[in-house]
Amino acid sequence: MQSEMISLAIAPLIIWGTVFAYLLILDKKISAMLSSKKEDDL
Amino acid sequence: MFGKANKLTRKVTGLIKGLWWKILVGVWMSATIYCAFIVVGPAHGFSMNGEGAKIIFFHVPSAWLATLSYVVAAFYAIQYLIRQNIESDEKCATSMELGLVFGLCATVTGSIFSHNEWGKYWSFDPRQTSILVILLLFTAYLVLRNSITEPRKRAIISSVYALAALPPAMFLIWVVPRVVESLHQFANQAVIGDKLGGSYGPVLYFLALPAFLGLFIWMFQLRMQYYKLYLLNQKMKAEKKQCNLK
Repeated sequence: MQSEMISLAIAPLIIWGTVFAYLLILDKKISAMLSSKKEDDL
Repeated sequence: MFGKANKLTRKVTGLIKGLWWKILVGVWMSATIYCAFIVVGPAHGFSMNGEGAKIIFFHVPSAWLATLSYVVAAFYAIQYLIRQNIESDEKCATSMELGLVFGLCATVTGSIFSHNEWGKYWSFDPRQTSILVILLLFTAYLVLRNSITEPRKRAIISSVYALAALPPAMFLIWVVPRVVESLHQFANQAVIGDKLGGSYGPVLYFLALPAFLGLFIWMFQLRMQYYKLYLLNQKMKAEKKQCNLK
């Protein structure tokens, strides 16, 4: 039963990992673009 | 009132600058998934030998965040109507968009729960009907907002709508499911009365809820950063146009 639950938990963990990585990359990209645009303005 | 609330918002956003809390959201959500599947045991009275109750860890925080979105949107709508600050209107819109996202998550997870517990994905339970109306209220806001092109007019009308939608939404969320007989009553009493068993309460309140709240704040910040980027782009385009005219 325990090993069954572990294998069931893998799929949502992978999905969350993908969403999390995507959010982190998006966050980094937007922050970098904002700071570069602000530098251009200055 | 707004002065104090704004100081608090600035303090909160000041505290949550940087990367550390985003990593914490990642760890917290992973811990929620791990605990939901492996640490927490089955709950008495639910389908799949009690394992069916585990969807509560994802369904309840999504539903609570959809409710919170309404309150946050109404706060920024009032702020916009008083100060006429276009950023408040954008924050109101962001909150409504996130409300729709989390409302959809609550509906999908709720349908899975409904299928497991009551045999149908949609049972026309009062709670299910009320979430459908709430989703329509969110969608109507976005449709109305996108149908007006003039920024000031759009901001005023959508802020008034966000405020007007709050009382019926709160009525549908808090009153209707409590006065009309509902299939949800057993699950509601189990969650509110903490009758699910040992570790359900701590995992729901100390892991799942903070993780979802962190995700909400993160998505809110990202959407506002995107808006700032859009404004800078517009400004640059206008400057280029002016240069070309000269």
